[in-house]
Amino acid sequence: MNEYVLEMKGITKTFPGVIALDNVSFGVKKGEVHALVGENGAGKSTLMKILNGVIKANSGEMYLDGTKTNISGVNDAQDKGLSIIFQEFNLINTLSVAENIFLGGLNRPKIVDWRNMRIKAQGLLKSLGFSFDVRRVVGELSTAEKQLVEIAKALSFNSKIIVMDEPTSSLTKSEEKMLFKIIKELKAKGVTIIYISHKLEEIFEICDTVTVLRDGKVIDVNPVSAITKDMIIEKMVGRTVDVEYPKRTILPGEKVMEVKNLYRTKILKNISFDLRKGEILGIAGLVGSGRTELAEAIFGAERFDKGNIKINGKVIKLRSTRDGKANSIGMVTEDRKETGLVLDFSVTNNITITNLNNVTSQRILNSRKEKDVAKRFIEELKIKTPSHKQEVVNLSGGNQQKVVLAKWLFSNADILILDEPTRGIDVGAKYEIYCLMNKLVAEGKSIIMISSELPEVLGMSDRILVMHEGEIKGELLGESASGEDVMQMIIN
Amino acid sequence: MKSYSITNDINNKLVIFLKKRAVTVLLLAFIVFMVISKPSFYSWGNITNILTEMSVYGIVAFAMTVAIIGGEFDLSASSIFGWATVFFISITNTLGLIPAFFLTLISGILMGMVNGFLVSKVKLNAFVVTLATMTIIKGLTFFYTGGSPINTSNETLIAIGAFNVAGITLTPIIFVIALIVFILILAKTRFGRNIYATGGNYHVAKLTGINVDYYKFIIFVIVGFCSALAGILLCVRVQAGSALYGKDLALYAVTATVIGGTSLSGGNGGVAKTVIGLLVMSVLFNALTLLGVEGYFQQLIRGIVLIAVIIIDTVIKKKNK
Amino acid sequence: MLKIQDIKGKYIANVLRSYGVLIALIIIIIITSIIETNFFTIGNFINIIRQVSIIGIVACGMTFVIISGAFDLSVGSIVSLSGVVAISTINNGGGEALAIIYALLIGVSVGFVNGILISLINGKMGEAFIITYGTQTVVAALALFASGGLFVAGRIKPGIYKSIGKGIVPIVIFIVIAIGMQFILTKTKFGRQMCFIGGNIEAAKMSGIRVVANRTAYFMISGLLAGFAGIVLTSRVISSNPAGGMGFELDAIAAVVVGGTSLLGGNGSIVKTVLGAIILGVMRNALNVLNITAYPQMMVTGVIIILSVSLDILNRKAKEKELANEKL
Repeated sequence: MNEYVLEMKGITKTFPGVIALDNVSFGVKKGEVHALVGENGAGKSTLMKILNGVIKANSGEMYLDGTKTNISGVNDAQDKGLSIIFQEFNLINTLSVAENIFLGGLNRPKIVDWRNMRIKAQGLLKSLGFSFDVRRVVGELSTAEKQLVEIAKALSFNSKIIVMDEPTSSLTKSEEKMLFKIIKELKAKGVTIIYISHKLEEIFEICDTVTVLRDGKVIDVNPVSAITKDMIIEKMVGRTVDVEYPKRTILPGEKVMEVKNLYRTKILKNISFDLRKGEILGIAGLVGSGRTELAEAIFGAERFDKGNIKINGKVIKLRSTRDGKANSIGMVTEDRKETGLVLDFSVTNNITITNLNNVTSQRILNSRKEKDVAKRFIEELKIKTPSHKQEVVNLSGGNQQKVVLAKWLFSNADILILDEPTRGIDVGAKYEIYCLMNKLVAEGKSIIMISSELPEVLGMSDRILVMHEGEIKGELLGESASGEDVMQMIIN
Repeated sequence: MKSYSITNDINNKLVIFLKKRAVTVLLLAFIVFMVISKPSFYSWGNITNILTEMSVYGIVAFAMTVAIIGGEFDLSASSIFGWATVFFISITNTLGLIPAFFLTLISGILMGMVNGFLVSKVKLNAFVVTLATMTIIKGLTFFYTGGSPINTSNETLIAIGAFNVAGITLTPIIFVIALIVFILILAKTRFGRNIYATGGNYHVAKLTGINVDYYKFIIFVIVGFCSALAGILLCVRVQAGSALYGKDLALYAVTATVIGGTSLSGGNGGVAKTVIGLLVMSVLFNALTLLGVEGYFQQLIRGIVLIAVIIIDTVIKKKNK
Repeated sequence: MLKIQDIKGKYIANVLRSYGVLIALIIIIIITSIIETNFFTIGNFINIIRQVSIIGIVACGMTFVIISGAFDLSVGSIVSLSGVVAISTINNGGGEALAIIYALLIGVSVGFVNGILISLINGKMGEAFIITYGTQTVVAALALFASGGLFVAGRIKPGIYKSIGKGIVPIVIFIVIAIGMQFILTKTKFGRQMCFIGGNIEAAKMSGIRVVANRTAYFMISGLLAGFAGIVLTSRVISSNPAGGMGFELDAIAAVVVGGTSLLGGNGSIVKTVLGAIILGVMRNALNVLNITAYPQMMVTGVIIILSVSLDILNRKAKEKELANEKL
């Protein structure tokens, strides 16, 4: 008699020079929602990749329904009722919804029966309580819809166990609610879910059990009811984290930026606000509310049709990101890998690119000056890197983010726009980024922070602008506002 | 106010239609123009002429479309084609027609396999690989013939070449068969859909359990096979082989594919679209010849059309976003 | 014991990978010198480099374009057209200076068209490929048009134009251009931004780099050098041929690739390209000396291209492995 639907025993996995998993044992009971948490690099994704047959463990055993199994590859995992929904969806944007659902499907006839496939796909979506045209191309879907397609795909293999990796990372609050409802329904049907997330609030909302991984070892397994958020954090980080959001003492000063009636057809509606020296201005709102478009407009990366922007009382022209830079604005974009860094460039080359004139002598690049700049920022921002010559691809997410910040600090930006500054960064590194933000405003910089994580916006901002459908719905004070206040503004 | 918005709506729909089918609309407009201004354009003789002209390269264009859908590119098609003409004629002269037919196809497949192996297994950039094999095969072909064209007086071949139904020769018939086969494979088989998946997102397709390397490999085999087949079909028409044949084939095939509307980024498109691309090119050049436009002026227009199409294509795509 | 051997093995592998191309060159030279005594002579080497210099100049421009993440297929026909126009200018009494200006102007203009079109539509490899193929076709047609499709003998009096292609002048020009461009690439803001654009064009845009202007400039440089190569070519053969530069684009790409600049963009070096061009030149010359005809030569060129990119892949894989080890 074995109550576990899945058991992994004594899993060890080493990569050249690294022990990724050290004798890990992990058990999941049938029909539960089991949270798997840990900092980046703790071994969560390695464990899941072993479960899915993408990589092989050096040693250890795996049991499904009490019988010993070997998973030889992705197809085999699917055959055995295991599927993983990755954070960056495994969908092919150029193909239709139906095709994506049945892409690696179990019943693989040589000839594609389109009608049958569509009916089945529609049926699966219906079983989740949704219906949309399955002939639509996945590239046109919203993130939430893509998520649904992924779940439908998992169900199409009759999956008994579904792993969800950061499923809510780009969902809006209401979409998140929908997802939780689906998870509950799946659970009722006896589907087991392994839930990986950095957002600990969610775990208390939806999960039954939580397993904490740290440095490739299982630190703790507990029912959610027997543990608190602080305890989880402590176990993840291996030390007590006193304050989630560090406090700062300085108060915002005079106005540095005034945005007046910014308008862009269908996207931005008469946006007006101002930003003060030493202030962190939070922008809350759903994905697609126009937050990023607003930030890009202020930076010069996107156009606006009407309105104006004043910096230190003077109207500025913003035709390109160059103009933004020239007016000492910097933007840390949402996706550092796509739009922030050249991954195979060194730390130095990524930092100095915004202000090469400053590291030249007689217009010739001076590598000594470059090195000094890089070293200064590595020290100031505590960037963990073996050397200034290291390629940024080898740094952790948090350190990569610091490199992006450094590049804008080097361009002497006084107004920093941070779009999702802590996305995909683990708890410890998040805290460091927050401290850094405080330090920057203390030095007289101003920050506009966009974030989907409400607690972060509430915890870090002096003021919060709530955006919805391209409009500013209201303004709140960071100190006194609550998550409910923000949601109220969005709904009304 | 209301009536304004309705006309606006109709306008919008028309605009969307025109944008989506811009190339087709332009093609039709051009055909109408030609029919009115040059009666000889729509004579049966000229129509079969256009068909035959586009058929040989068209078969390779289909294969190239498949390659582009799969996210790859094959420049060596030109050389494989030239090689096939030379090899086919010379084997016809020595071993006979049937061995020549099969050996030529096999040689094309083998060349495709080399490309496929280097791209899918050794993971080399397809552009460089096929650029290199293009040079190698061209060298081989010149070496094989000593640089001069070769002829045959094989009577069966001449007879096959002369065969026609109401002026339609074997080539267009095979072209249509190839079109149907490719449409069926791409739309109706798992094999075809997996090529779309591989080209659409290699990484995801791999994680979904699709044997992506196999599809990357097979793409080049298809191009090799079709290039050899097209080479044979040319031989049927002209009873001669030369290393110089098919010089601009690969780029012609890419152009037809892109004009047709298959995106260079892979994962979408289809051979039916490529037919439009082929028609645009062959109708345009046929028309220019009929209008008495000189050789290099034709070439000039061809270049401009190519640039215009790719730019219009990307601009429209951007707008639709 | 084992460890020392290990380190030794690693060292040798490292040297092989980093200097594989250079080693291959030396091996070719040694073998050919043993077989043919009149190969290893200063005269012959000057001859080789002179032959290489024209493709080399074109390849330097191509390197910039490839580093920035694109391709330029139009250079071959630019060589043809600029040569045709220069010779006909001189023959029609327009003067040498004007001929040179026209030739360079043609190169820059075609490069401008390429660059502005590609960068405005935010074109990647594929678009660059098609658009420059389009301009190649157009420019080749213009060359045919301008020359009436004919081979034209140049009526060039001794002077600047004639001396450009004579003796060691093309070699000196090639070396000066290469040094200058290597300097621009590694030591200037312009060069660094080029690498950044090739490495991640979206990040470049978001970093306040003038992407459109810069990308256009790379194509203009490539075109300018192709135009200049047209002058050198016609000066050397004292005639123009509307198809004189045909296939140069592929030879230039081959030189870049054989040298070891990755087609992925983001980094590369002019020095490598020069080396690549010389290797191809030496190889061709060696085959000539060994009495191997032009056709097998084409095949050998192809094989060399494949071998050198395979080496590049091997190199990258080994680097990744080393990195994984270092992480310990």
